[in-house]
Amino acid sequence: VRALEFDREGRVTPATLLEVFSVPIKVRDALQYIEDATEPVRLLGLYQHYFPEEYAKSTASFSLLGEKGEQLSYSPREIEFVQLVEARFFPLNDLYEFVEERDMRIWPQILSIGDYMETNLSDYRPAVQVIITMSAGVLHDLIDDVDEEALDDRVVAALRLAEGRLNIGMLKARCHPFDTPLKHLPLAVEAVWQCTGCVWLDADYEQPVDAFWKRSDIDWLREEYEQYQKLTAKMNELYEWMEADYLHMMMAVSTLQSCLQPIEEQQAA
Amino acid sequence: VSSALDKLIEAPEEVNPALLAAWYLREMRLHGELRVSYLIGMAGRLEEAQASGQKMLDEGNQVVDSLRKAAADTSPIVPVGF
Repeated sequence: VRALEFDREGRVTPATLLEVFSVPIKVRDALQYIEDATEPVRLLGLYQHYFPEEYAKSTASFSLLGEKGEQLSYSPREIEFVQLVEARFFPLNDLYEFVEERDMRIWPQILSIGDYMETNLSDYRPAVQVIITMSAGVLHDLIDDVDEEALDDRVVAALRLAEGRLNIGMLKARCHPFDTPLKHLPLAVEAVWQCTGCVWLDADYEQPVDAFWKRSDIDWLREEYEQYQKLTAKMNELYEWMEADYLHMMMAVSTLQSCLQPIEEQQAA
Repeated sequence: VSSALDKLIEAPEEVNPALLAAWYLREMRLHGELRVSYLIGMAGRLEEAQASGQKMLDEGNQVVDSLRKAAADTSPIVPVGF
């Protein structure tokens, strides 16, 4: 509440009195007013909505003051809600107990394949190393980073021969008739490119998930996470199939290789 | 002009729900009735008011924008005094 203003004779000014009774007349001001009024209890409202039984039984404090009187970013009751979201809905970044500033943005865990240009390629499983190398479009930079001991020599030789940029449309058309896990190859490439359309596979630190602590965003992230689990199951099926047999790995490599186009040709198309 | 005017004519005649919600909260605060338990219970309805209020605001802005962009049209009626 704004401090009261007084005139020369010590009386409260009419402007100050009116200020107390002023109402937002612009929609933007009204939206901000609701935001300001509800922000302190936003997480608690969500807790009660999504986990009513746990909320009723909880004895965790609502206070933003710690045991030693220190200011907390989130109350123990709010942390309890965040932990329930993580346990039952989707994974979150482990920062809610430790951050210094309260933030109404949701910070999910990054689950995308990530920045493979910065990460050590040999840290990925063999099938993913092959898919990244074939789909990256900068083969000669990546091929030296492949863990050659984890791959068959003939696969490494085939990777070294591959050149060009992968045409995803061509790959989709080629994989469509397959009834083996190879049909998931285009999805695995799109996961590397982070363009699957599923936010959990596409978002990373540079392009974080744009979501806030509100029902619509939580419901959206839950749906997307279910989708992520389905897509990940398909990709794991492909990876396991590729790694189970050298011939499978070679089939994947040759399928990818058949969809590589010289960069100039693809630009012309 | 006609499409922008049609949008205006078709627009529902109602007060933006975000304004109604904000006025209601303001009223409760003035009377000292705005309690945490109430806000927690109302959180869902307030979120809906924010979402529909924002949507209505965006739609209104679109209509204003289309009116601004609309080509001028000569009125058949001469204004009084001309």
